[in-house]
Amino acid sequence: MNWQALVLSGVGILLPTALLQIFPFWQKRFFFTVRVPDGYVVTAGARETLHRFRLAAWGVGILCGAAMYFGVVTGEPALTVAAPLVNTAFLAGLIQWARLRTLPEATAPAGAIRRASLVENEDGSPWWIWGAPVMSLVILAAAVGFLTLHWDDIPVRFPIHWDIDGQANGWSRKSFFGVYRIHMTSFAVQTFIAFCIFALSQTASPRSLPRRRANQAILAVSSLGVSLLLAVISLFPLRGTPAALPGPWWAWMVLPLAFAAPAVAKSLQLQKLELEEVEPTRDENWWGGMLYADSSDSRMMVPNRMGPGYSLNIGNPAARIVAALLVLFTLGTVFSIPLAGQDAKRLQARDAATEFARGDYAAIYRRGAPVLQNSVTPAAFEQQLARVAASLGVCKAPMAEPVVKGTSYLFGLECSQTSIGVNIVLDGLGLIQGFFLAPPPASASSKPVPLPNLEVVTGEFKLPARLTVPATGDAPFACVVLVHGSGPQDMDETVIGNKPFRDLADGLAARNVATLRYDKRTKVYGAKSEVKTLADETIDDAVSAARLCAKQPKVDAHRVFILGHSLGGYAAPRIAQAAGSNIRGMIVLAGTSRPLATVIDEQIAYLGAPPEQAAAIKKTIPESWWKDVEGYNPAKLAASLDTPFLILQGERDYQVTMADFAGWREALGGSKRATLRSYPKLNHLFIAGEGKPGPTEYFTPGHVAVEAIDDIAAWVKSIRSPIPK
Amino acid sequence: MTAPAPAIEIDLASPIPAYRQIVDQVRHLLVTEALIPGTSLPSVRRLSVDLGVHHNTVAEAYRTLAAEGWLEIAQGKTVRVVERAGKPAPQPQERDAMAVSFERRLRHLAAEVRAQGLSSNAIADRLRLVAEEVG
Repeated sequence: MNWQALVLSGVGILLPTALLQIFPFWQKRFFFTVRVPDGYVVTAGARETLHRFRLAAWGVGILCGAAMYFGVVTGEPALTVAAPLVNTAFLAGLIQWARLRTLPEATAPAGAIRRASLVENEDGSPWWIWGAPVMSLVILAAAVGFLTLHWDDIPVRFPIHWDIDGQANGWSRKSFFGVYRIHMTSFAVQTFIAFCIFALSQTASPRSLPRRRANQAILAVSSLGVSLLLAVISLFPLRGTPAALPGPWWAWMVLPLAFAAPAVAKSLQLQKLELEEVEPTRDENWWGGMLYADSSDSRMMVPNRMGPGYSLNIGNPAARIVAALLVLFTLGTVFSIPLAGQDAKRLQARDAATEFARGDYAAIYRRGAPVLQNSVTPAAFEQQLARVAASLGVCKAPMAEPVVKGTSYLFGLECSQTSIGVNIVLDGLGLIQGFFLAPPPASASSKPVPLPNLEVVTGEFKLPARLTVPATGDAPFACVVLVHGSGPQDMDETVIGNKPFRDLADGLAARNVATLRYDKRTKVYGAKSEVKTLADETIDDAVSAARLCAKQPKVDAHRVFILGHSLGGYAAPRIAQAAGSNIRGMIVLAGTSRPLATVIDEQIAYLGAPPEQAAAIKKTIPESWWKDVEGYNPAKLAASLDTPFLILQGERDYQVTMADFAGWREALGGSKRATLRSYPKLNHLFIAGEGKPGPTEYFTPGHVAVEAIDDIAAWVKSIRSPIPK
Repeated sequence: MTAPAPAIEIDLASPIPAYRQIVDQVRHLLVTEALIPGTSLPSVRRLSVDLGVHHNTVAEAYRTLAAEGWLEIAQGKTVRVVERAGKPAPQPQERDAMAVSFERRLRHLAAEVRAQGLSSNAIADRLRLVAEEVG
């Protein structure tokens, strides 16, 4: 902490506050905004009240000034806003109290003589009073022009705010608003100041000409100073991204002070003017001695009763509009401060997630809060992240907005092997306190819209179904019906902790493809489903589902596809045959191409179980079912159909193996209508893994590989809607 | 040495309405030729802002003076002092009524200041001075 700077700026802020509270100390007939009438100051009681009032006003003013400064230093915007409000409210109360307690008996009617010249006098402001705001706008425009010309030199991320040590604690990014926000804000402020200078020349009485001139001068000088300072700061991005403020810290205090000094000097002059000129506004029109409202007074602004500046005449309709705008502007600014802070932290978290995806772990460490950096060395931290990242493959930078919970930001990363979540916990300054890997968030921005209460109906069987429609993009969408493998599966095809069909539905929705999935008949009806044939188990419901899909409003009825997984893939050619022109194409994921009995035998042998187990499994399937598939060769049937086929296979699948894939390839390999692809790392559920495949890896929750989903989506999109006849 | 710039002064605490005060003072300036024909007066808005009164108050005052033939208000914006179209020679009957009214107001005024201690001679002196001043 830079104590010199802290103390100096503290004194710089508190001293004027202290002085303003007691100004003008030589003028005994004023206390704060209330004029003390003749005869009042002579009584001992009144003097005592006056003295106590001044002490209280002064004390509270200093306290609130200190609180405000403390708020600025510690970054507590609430304190910065609350302190002046408390000060104002307290003073208003104090004035009322003093008036009610002691003033009424002593109050003489306020002087109400008003004078006006009958000669039209020129405004006569010196040229620089009008030149200053124009110059301010020119300076800002020049900064905008310079930045635009050197746009390519602006880094992606640059500091915009510095703490008392001159270290950056606020960042912005290279975007239209990120770069030009500072100019837009100051442009608005400068325009407002120019308006004030104009309004003063229009609505202030010529009687108070010196006073008006002084106020205009203060406005003009501060306008110039503020825009010069902001224009210089706005060019900082061209320096690159160093976090430290350029130059010595005190230089950044001298510039504003250089412009503040003449303004302060002018205000002091004004204090003396007050001795001769007391604006004859009536006491009863000053609410709490601070707010002026007189509807019979044409002035929009009247000089303050004490100190420099003017008060709006709330009784004037135009002034009421200006007051309302001011209140709105203030509230907007106050409420946008925490929002901007949120936004900056979100950016910082995103940068860290992007660095992780890029493999720049040292950069993440540099963003670490002391609590993180003290607990781990840079080398250990980088090693730890590199180890975790090794199993993810190549990751893309996060696209979607993070899920924000308090101070933690959860980004989803799409990596070549899997999707993963990166959870980043930031401290108050946006430094990283914790960096964790987590399950990926249900993507918030492209969240697909599930439409419940659909039913796949086949005869008396009614199966709950879910249509997943892309959240963005133009309807109608192509739709894929997901058909399960063997066993009583739910619509997510849940296998222990894995939900491959949910992954497919969400993944395809994100790629602008709709899906329809449903609970399998054997899941909903159990023994009552009376499955006698493959048609009962799978085919009939799949065809009904395709028909249901085609009827959905957001679905292109000419582009309905069926995806069969495992047993569903085995049944796929027969489903295609049964559905005929109702479907546009067929996707087979790990579909069996050889006789099922062979596949069951092989699986049992692979797992090292006795062959009797295979026989027991086959027994659970009814005789009629076996009869139904007798002589059925899925690949051959597929080759005889006009339907386009996409055949995908995981090379680490021990259940439906590359031998099955070879069967498909043999029958369809030469066909233009068929696309075949296998993935080295994927298992039966199309989830990536390592080593010898086995049932235990299903216990580790995973997600369907992005590359498989990409391929499915790309293939579906490659098949055009036929021109309707 | 030039004469001070013509100005008016109103007292909001006075029981006399503000518009009446403006009319009386501007008329006095006109009669004493402190304001001569051709002079521009401040616009209604300007004067109302300078005096801190409602603009209707100033407009009413200007309208009254225009009706008496002193001012010309163009488009309700520019206010100009004009040559009054000849000194109106009042009918004898009218003149009598005016004199009676003037005498009554004068009597009230004289009684008021007499009650406050001003001598009869002083009142007479003042009256003569004022009469000479307005020509």
